[in-house]
Amino acid sequence: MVDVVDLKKNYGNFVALNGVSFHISEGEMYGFVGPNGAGKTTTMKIMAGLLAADGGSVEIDGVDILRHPKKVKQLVGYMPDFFGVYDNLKVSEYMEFFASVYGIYGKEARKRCQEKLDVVHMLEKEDSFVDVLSRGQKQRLCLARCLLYQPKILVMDEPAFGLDPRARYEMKEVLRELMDVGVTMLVSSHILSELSEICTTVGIIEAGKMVVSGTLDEIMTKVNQSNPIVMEVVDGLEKAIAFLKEKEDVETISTNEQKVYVGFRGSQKDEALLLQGLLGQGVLISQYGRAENNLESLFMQITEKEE
Amino acid sequence: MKNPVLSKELRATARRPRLVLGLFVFNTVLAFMVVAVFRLNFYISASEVSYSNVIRFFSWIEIAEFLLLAFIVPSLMAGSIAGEREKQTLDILLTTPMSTLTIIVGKLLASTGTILLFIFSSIPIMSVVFLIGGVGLFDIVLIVVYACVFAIYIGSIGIFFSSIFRRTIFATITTYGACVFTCVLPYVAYWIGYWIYLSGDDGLSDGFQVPGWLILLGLFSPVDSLVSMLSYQIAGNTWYRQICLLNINADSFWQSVNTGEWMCVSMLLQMLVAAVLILASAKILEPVKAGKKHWKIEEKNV
Ligand SMILES: Nc1ncnc2c1ncn2[C@@H]1O[C@H](COP(=O)(O)OP(=O)(O)O)[C@@H](O)[C@H]1O
Ligand SMILES: [Mg+2]
Repeated sequence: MVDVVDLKKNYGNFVALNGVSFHISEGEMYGFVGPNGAGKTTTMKIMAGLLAADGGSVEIDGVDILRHPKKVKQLVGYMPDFFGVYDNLKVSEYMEFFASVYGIYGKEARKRCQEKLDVVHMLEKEDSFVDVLSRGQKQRLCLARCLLYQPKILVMDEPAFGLDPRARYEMKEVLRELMDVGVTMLVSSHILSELSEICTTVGIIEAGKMVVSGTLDEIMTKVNQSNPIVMEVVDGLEKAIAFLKEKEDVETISTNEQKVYVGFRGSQKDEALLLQGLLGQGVLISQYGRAENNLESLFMQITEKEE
Repeated sequence: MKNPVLSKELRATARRPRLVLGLFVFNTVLAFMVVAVFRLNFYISASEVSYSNVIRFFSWIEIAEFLLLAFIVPSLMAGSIAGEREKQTLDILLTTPMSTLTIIVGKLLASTGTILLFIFSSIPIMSVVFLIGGVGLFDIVLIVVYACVFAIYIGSIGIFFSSIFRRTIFATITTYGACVFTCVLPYVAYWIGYWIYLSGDDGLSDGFQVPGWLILLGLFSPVDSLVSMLSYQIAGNTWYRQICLLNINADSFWQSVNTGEWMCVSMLLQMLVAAVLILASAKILEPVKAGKKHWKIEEKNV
């Protein structure tokens, strides 16, 4: 559905994107995560046809949009990170204005607008003026506007940024409903946990390069390999340490009372064999396993590594 | 042809109480002027009407409308695109299939339309002057045509600077600057030329001729179009006739063209400039230039 290959962008001498590549399949919700300044907005603006790239290619639904910048406008629904609305217009008029932009007028426009406002739970706000809406409501209005013409992909830049928990929840609900009806989406955030609940696939970008991408589980296991094994030794601590010291795959050993942290390079099977060996030495162990990363420490770990 | 931006702008403008108030004040003032002028001038006696006063009054309306346009259009237009940038609404417009030309034309028509509403709304009051005579339907049509050309001309200058600059304030300053420049440049050139001529002269100063290129400059000046329209409409050696570059003592070729023709040529030329500026603005606004050649991926393989 969407293929971004080796995308490059410079602002003067500053390299903002240094070969970004990712793939989004149809109906997928792709979480685009990275710290501030990583290049998320730049990538998304290029995809929305608002910024010229300096290299690489972006293919959406079989169209090379960098070569055919006019065509992108039919394919992509773009929600910027920061945007304004017009004063002196009501919600319904705002929607009808954009309907007319897509050549939809009159009764048909009214019907379509109400339909899309309903999708984002904004129908009851139809007669409010747009400039008095809250940020969360404006974002959902903007989303409804994107949906007016059934784009192939929705590109949303930090849709949850600056929202209170309630608005964030509502936004998430709307996105989940869109995913249920098969809308393909690219959603960015600088907070991984914000996306982990709803995204099918996550790509992490850092300083203009993709660091990892895959399903959340894949990323977790990939990163967990570098985590220490943590075990709680109830009895036979010395014996355990002596045993561990002789193993080739063990890189570091540190202890904290009963807890032993082992830097270990081996596979899952090696982990199991290590445990078996320890037990064979008569060491009593009450807990054993790789330290699990929570999302935030995982994110920190990934983005630090690249420096 | 439907222009979504135009309809949206008009709807938002119509909602501003300022507009209705402005229309009301403008026409009330005009109506009072008409009544006052009637009472004071036209009826010298019950049977005698001073046509020259009617016409003079008429010319003041034209000048007043020129000034109204000259002050309001640049400030309206300068904010048209830069304002959307500042309010962060432009990006969204640019991601829609609507062409940048549609956006520019919609903005231009909306702002000049608002102003032309003033002009059109004043037609009934101006028409009262009809009743007395001295001014024909053609004169009123001419004023409206001139007002449209003028509004579109300086409007396109405004929208051009508005597309260039990120901040409305810069667009406003440069637009006013450019308008003043086009309006007065030919006059400044003329007076400098005249001054140089006088300083090198032995005292017989009535032989100064306007060089032909200066007349060409005059064609771009809305002020010169205005005074040539006035001198076309109003006979006699009035002050507008005297300052009209397209009319005064030019060398023989230029003189063979009469004021009415100059006026048409200058309006056409100004529309042409406006068209160029509008197309240029549309091009500037295009975020990713379609005409630009992109790098070739194949090249890497070679
Ligand atoms: N118009 C610009 N001119 C110069 N540098 C820019 C511009 N826009 C963004 N940048 C820089 O490019 C980098 C990537 O920015 P951005 O794509 O906005 O990151 P993100 O959205 O991930 O926070 C940042 O370091 C930012 O300072
Ligand atoms: Mg950003």
